[in-house]
Amino acid sequence: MSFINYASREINCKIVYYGPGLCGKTTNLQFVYKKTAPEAKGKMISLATETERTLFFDFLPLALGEIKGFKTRFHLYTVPGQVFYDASRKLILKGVDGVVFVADSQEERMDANAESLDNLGINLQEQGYDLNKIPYVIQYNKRDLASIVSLDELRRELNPTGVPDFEACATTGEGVFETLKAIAKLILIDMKKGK
Amino acid sequence: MVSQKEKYLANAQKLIQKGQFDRAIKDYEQVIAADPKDLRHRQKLAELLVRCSRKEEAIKEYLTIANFYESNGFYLKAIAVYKQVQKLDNTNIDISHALAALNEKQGLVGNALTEYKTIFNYYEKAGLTDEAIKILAKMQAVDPENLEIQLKLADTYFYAGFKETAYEEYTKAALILKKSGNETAFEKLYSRIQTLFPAISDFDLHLLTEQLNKGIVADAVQVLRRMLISDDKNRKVLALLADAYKLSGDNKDRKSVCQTILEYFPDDITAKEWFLECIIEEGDFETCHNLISLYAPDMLKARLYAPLERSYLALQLHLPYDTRVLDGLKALYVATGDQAKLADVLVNIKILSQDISEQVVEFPQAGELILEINSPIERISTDTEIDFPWEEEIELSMPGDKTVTDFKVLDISDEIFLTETEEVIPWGQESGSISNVPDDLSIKPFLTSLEDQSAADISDDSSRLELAKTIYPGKQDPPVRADYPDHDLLLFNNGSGEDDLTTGVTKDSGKYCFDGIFSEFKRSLDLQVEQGDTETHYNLGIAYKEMGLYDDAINEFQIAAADPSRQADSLTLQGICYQAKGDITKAEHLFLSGIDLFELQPEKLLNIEYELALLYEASGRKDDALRYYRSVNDYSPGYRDSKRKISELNGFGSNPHFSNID
Repeated sequence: MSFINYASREINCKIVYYGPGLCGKTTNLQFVYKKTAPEAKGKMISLATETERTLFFDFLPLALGEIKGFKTRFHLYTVPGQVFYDASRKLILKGVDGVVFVADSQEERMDANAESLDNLGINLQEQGYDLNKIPYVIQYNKRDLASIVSLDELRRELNPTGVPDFEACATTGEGVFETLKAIAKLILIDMKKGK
Repeated sequence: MVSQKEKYLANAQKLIQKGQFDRAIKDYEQVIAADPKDLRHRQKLAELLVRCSRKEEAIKEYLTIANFYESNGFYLKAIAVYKQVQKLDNTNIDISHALAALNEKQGLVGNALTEYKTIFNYYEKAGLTDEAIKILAKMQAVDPENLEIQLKLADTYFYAGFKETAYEEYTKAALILKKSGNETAFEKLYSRIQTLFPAISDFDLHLLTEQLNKGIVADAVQVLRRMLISDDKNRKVLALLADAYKLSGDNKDRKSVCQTILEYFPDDITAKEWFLECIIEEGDFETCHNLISLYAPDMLKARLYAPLERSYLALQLHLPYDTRVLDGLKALYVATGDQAKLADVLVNIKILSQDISEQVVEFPQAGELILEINSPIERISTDTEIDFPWEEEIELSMPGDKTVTDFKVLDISDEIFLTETEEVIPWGQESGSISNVPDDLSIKPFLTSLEDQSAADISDDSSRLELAKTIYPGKQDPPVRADYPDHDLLLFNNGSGEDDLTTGVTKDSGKYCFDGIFSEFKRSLDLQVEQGDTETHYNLGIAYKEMGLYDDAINEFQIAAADPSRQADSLTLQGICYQAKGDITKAEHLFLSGIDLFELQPEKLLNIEYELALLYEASGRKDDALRYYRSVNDYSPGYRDSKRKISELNGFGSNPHFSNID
């Protein structure tokens, strides 16, 4: 739930990047951080284990414009993708305003994508959210690799409800900002509807 | 009947009208003799004495009056009388003293400074330096931001031979200039300071530190290196240079500076810590470990626990499977008596030592993992009932992976490298029996407590299976991961029995895992985020608050409150967190102190008052809530939903039109 700070006139929105292990969630945030002007971003918290896995969560605060005199701050989070970090994922989903599901386009990761998507639905439900109702977009990452699944199949498997989706290559940045803009826009529309 | 006093006064009036002032004075003297407390007629007497040019006598009378006023607290009247005296004798330094003190008491800063300046000039002219300095010090106390006084004081100290004090006063003056943004004047004064005090000073270093804080590293490095030419053993300069190199990411030069410090100051713990950081940065973990081992006994003896812990933890990030590091931490926590951390370390030592004793898997430092031939894992049957919901974690266990090539493909995806691939037998292809796997595959708690270590013996295949089942609860065989056992599992996993097939972890172990992960996360975060980075602490506070980690959020907001621009927000959010924790008293206390603190800042005050009203409303104190909602609404009609709240609390539903009705 977006948190409005009336004293400092700030709206804080929480975006969570969800997806299977090593699908490129952290890379998304790293690219956003790299390409964002210093005055619009805070310190990126990104702690990794020895095996380059996210430790607890990545965190990137961004300040993106104003709405009616309120500074709009987006807090971007990633979850750890590995199965045994489910408690962390549940915690990170608390108070979420929008979700980006980062899918790994490689054929051998399709099961992992499906598993993670199921896990997202269950965890959101536990927090009282409905994936069909909250702002939600999908990113098909790693489109630059050789053994990838076609876009149609990805959509069929992972996006049956036809939410906004984007092809991406987070390492080069392709599709990264498109995804972010889309989820930010959905969140703002959702906020407007709520008022 | 006319009194004697009245007769004298009537006579004196007649004499004054005739211009016979000397004779009138005599009559007034009689009046004063009869009534010494009659200040009005004593004043008249003094005025007549002035007319008759009898200055000394007039001053005497004026001083009597002034003293009376002063001692009875009539300071302004006393000042007026002393000024009369000063007109008669402007060389009387005692009068200036009295006037200065009285003006200071009255808060008349300008007048007080004028009087002190007169006194200072007098003393300076008379060569009474000590007295002159005392007066300047008084002037400085009256107007501490007055640059002229500051510089005069510094000059006076300097020329009087008090060099150290003079230096302090010059630097204070320079800081005043810096604060005011007057760079030209600052540079002029700084140049003067350097001329008067050519040796390297703390002030120079202070300025260089400021420069570094602003990110002007290259210039600072140049200056520091020049300083070292004249004073190569200056510890402060060397330390600052090490800092500068750290900021510029120049690990090689930083290491070299640390070595120099240690050469001159072999017992310098901070330099040792920095040196270790440099070596870790270089990736020379073996040397780093050797050095920590070398330094540790002395550091423990000197109770320098914090730097030692930081060094070990930094090294542990790179050598997570190194029992020597864990042993070091164990010795440290034994010394500090930190039972919780000690328990964590002991668990990890136990797990690690047992894994190593099996010689199943080696844990190379570079993250490569090597499967040994005839690993017990390979002999685990596929017909056991453990399920593996996340196949990304179990590449080697995938049914049908029969070729070496298959492994390689999977390995690359997870950055795992096999060395003896031709000997690896994929999951599902048995190479031996499972005779040593017990029939009873019930899941036992894995090291649920330190005391229970013996019960969780995992030195054989069965117990390894149990470990695997705890980590991967399910119905099929445990996976054989190339990167198993994972560092994170080693650190954090602890099963307790009940399966949770959805999440892949047991419910209790999930909590245990999370606690471990979170404490590791925070430890690592401490290394990344400086205490002074208040904005990041504020953001982390919001992150933790959203997650319901209220205690941690409060800690972060407390740190963030050091930033004046975030003080109100941080305080309010702490209150909200306490409210969420159910600590209404603490929340109320915080909001009320916020109201006191931001009384004059309406935007912040309104928000805090509104939050306090919400708190009262939530805790059933409707009258108090109503009072604050009204206060908010009176100041800023319609602020947030104050109108609706007032209307509701007045019992008129949510129609804001009823907000004004009591």
